[in-house]
Amino acid sequence: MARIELDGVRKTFADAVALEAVSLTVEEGEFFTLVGPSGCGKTTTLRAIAGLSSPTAGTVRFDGEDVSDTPVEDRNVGVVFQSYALFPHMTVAENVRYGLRFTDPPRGLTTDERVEELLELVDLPGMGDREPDELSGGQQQRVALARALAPAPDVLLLDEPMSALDARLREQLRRAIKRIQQELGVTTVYVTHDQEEALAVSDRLAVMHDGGVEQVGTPVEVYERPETEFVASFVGENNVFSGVVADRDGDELAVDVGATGTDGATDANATTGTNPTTDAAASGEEIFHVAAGDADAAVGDRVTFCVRPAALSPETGHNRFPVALETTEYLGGITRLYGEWAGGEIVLRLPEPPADDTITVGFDPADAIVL
Amino acid sequence: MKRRAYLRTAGVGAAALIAGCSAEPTGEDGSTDTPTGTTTGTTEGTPTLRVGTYTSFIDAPSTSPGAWVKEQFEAEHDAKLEWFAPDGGIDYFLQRRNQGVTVDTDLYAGLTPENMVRADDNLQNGDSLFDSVDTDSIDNADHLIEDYRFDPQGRALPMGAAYISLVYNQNMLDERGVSGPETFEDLTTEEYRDALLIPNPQNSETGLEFLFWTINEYGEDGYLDYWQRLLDNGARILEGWGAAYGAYSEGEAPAVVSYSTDQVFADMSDADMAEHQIGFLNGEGYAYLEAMARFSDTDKPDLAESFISFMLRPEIQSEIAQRNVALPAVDNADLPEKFDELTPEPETVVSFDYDRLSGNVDDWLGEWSRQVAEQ
Amino acid sequence: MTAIRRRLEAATLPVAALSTLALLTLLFYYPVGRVLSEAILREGRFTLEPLLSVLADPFFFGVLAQAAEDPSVLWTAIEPHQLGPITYPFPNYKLGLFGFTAYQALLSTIASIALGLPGAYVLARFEFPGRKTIRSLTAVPFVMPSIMVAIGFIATFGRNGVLNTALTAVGLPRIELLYTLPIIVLAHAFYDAPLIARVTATAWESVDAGTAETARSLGASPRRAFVDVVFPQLLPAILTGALLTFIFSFMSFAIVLALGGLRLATVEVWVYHRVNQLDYGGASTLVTLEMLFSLVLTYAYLQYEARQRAESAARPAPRKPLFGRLNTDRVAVWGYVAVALVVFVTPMASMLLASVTGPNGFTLANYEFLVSRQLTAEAFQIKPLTAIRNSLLYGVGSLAIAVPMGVLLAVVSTRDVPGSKLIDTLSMAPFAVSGVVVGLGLLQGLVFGTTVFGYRFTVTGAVAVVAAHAVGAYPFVTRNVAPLLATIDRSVVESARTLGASRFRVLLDIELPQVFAGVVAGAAFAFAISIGEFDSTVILASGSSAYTMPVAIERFIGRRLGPATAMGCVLLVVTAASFLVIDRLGEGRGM
Repeated sequence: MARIELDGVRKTFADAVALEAVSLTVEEGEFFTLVGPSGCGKTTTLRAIAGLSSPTAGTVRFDGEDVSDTPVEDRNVGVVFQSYALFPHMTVAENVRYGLRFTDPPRGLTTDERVEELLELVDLPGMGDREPDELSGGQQQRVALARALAPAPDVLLLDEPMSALDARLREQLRRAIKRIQQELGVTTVYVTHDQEEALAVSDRLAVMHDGGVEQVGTPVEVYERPETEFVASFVGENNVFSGVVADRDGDELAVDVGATGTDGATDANATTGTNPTTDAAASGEEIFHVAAGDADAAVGDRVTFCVRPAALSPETGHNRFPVALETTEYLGGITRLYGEWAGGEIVLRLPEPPADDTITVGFDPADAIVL
Repeated sequence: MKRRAYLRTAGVGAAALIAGCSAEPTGEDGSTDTPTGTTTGTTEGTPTLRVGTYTSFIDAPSTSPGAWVKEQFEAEHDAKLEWFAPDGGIDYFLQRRNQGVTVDTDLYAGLTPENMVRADDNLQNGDSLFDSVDTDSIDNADHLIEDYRFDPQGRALPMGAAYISLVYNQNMLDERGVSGPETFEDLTTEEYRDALLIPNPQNSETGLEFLFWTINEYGEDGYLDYWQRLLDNGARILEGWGAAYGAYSEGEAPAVVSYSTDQVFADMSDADMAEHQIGFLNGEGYAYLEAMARFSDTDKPDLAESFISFMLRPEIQSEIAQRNVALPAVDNADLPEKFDELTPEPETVVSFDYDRLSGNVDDWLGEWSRQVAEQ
Repeated sequence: MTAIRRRLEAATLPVAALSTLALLTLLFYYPVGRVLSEAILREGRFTLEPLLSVLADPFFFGVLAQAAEDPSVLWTAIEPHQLGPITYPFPNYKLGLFGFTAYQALLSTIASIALGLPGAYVLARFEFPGRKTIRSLTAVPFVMPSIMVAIGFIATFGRNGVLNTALTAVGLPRIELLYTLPIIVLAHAFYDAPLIARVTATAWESVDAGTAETARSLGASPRRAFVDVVFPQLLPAILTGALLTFIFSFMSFAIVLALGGLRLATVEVWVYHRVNQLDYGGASTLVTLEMLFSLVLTYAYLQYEARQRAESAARPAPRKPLFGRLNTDRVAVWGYVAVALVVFVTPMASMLLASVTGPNGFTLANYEFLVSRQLTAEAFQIKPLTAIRNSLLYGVGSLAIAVPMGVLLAVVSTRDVPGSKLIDTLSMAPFAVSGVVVGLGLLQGLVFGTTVFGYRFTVTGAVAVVAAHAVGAYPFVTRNVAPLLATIDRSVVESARTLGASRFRVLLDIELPQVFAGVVAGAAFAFAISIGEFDSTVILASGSSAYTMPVAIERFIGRRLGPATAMGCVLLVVTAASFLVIDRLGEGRGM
């Protein structure tokens, strides 16, 4: 099992920069996810790790050894593609055993034994003689996984393997993949655009955006303590506010969300994440009290903070403001509400939909996270 | 698996290729081109005479004298006879002589005057493909028909002849209400519209000699105009005598430029004579002459001479004439009466001799073909 | 995986590519180059004078050459033309030989499209028993030897041929079609319309039904939906077929020779005659110009072919049954079927008929002739069985060379290396060069021998024949394999590489098996092309016993067409049988 280090990896194509300068470390045996919207560079990063494309600059190291110039067939990686890419002219068993033409099965097993072992591992026992086009999407994906794992690679790479599957199957399979990964302990890098999936399955994850890494951390860290506005909006739903610090009282900031700062510009154009920044177009003052956290904000500074929908509640006494409700979505046991305040979108999660079309909610200063 | 099969077959292919190649040091004599031929097992001392000729002399679907000649020759002489008929006739030898490739052939039977002219015009270094034969050592040479001799240098000795003429189908002409065409001008009239098939002079002796015939009639300044009128009247030029005659026999047109010996074939296949009428335009026929000549690089000059001698014997000439459906080159060959009846001769014989042709054939053909193919 | 084995594998592809290049150079570029060099070398010096004089010659380039010297020709050539009561001025330009050749190629292309598109419609949108077989058979006309097609057409469309016999039987007047431009165009359509049908049908089957359905749901009538949505998706395929048709019709030789007469000569026919007159300089000048033109067209063709590498994930529209209640659709289809039968089946059927017909009705005399010739022929005469045997041997021989060569070139052309398009075009060069020139080049270059370092290298006539056949055949292998190679899912290839396969192993284990169907199809083509090859063979096999069936047919054309038609039928049976056998071998394997 290998430890992966990317150091300043940069990739440009003829007309665009796909990766700015990515530096990451994936520990041995870790399930590490690259998550981000389309075009953020996560697949490019994965391909650089695999050796399917060579970086324009920077190095890739496995266990400290520079593999940047090693061709893919010599890197001992296993890859599962979005389209599974099973060999159409071979049976399932022949697919799985293909990698064993170039290396011996581990632990002295015979090739047949290894194939059977893997098919059992992915829960497809005895399906060796089937043809790929006889299998369902989920089954094909499991064969692809078995095939990638058969030669006991040091690194397992999965490129959005769930995209083509339906929601229920997706959940089942990601649990299966997680289980298998833990059982085998193979260093895994998983790419997905689904942040929910990333949170559910990873040991650590990296949120990517526009060719760079915004934040790396455990799911809890990334969710609870986003470091940038993008991460705050992208991971889970969030309500992002921006304003000027009117007062600082120890650990608490009084932020004037209504004031327009000297620059006048707002971050209302965040296209990622679920909520654009709320910008108080109204010229009045609207002071929110938020916990400063680690932020080194002084009076007069412009700050951005976010509040999770779950933290907005009609019962909370602090920081109350009215929301004009627009759309209601029943999620089964809980209701998600989209509404509007001061010209921006607000997302709420409540146990029951309210009776009126406006609702006043508030949040605890401690629930606000300054970015 | 498949790839091994490929490699195997590719290997076989490669081996075969290499097997077919050879590399020899270039000496003074260059390389020899001996096609996989027909050498019958020669016993020690029996020489083999290789005779080049045209394909229908030895291998026509209807009749060829080649096999009989071989049998007779081998029976009388202590030698083997090997026929060799490359497509392209004399050009085959010409090309190779120009490239310095020796061909193991001793003489050529079936040379026409224009072949000779072509050989002389196209050989580099003033070389000659053939060398002359001393007629004193040829029996029966004094019975050679004088008119048939065409080589001023005495290399080619006549072996047979025929007349180029029209062959027409009176049944088809009856449908038009006309009789057979009698003059060149007739062929350009309305009554004979779309009536004539001509073998392409560019690759057919028959057509070429017909071209000469028209040059004889209209002169070098007028023949192109004649041809224009001929073609405007619907005459068609087809590739080779085979194509032209084949089309004629399928009824594509009522007349074709062919040979005056046509009725012999018709008689052989019991055809309707009305469909095989011979037409001598303006009472003329163009003499199609064939001759034999010995190659200058032969290693058996004496054997070649014996062959020529053999070929000119009256009884041999008689057989050849009948089997080749042509006229003998000597005047003392006996032919059956029937044969005589079936081979009419024209009142006037037209023929261009070597001097007339020399240096002109390519020019005539060139300007003629450009006019015909003009778009 | 030892390091040595790795190194060997890594070297295999480049080595194979180099040896293919070497072989190609030896068998094609060198011989043809020799011949072409005579176009620019006079007395040992380079000169463009011959080329320029041809370009400036109105005989070859018609009004363009005239205008270059005297532009006033462009308007002085405008003359009044009559159309009914209307007299209108129209330019009466001279086409020149090249112009005429292009003109007949254009007409042939239009005719092929007109005959081929309805065929594509039937093949793609209807269901009927035997559909797959008929689809296989669409490739057969293309590989028929031209001399056989010529005979078939003569037997069908001659003054006393099958068509006219049928017409006069019902009291209609005869049609005089032989030795006219229409018959040449029709013969070209015979060759190329099935090709267009096949290529277009394939494209049609990969059109997603959803696109037309969407158009319909937005308000378009079925006709509009077809014109706006489906047809544009077929256009690349149609254009590909059209370009190929144009190239082949432009280069067509034996058909024009046999069915046209000298008044309808094309450039190729003229080249043939120049060669016969031993005017190699003149011939090579024309061939050079011809080749430049065809190479440009070939390049365009390759561009289009690349564009129509369709995804097969589309859902095709369901097929309609052919047999059913008669509506306008079906009536039109049956009408087309009748025309198709006349054009495609009748020539071969007529040839079969002609082979058993004599002056006195039904006879087996022609076949008897073949048998007796086989049994009693002298060594210097052509024997049918020898011809058959030689043809088959040469076929196998040329397969052994053409298939690996063609596959390799397909691989090279689909790799993303700079200049791969150029390599692709150059490797398709045999398309653009006439068989006469190839034969001549091989004759002069190899059979007569080349002197290098004081040694003269020669090959026997038989080897040269196989070489000529292989050269003519391998482009068809490439054209069948390259499109399939290009549509292989890249991630499948990458998967194999992540599992440890080197580039070479990926080619062998993953890519080639998937294009096996294409390899087989190409092999079938190559074999059939080899069997039918005439132009080069007749030059190279001259005077030897290395003759093939087409050469035998030509030899048997004599006073009557009979024996030749019998041999032609033998050739037809052998060609069709071997084609079907090879094609069937590939069935059920690969995609």
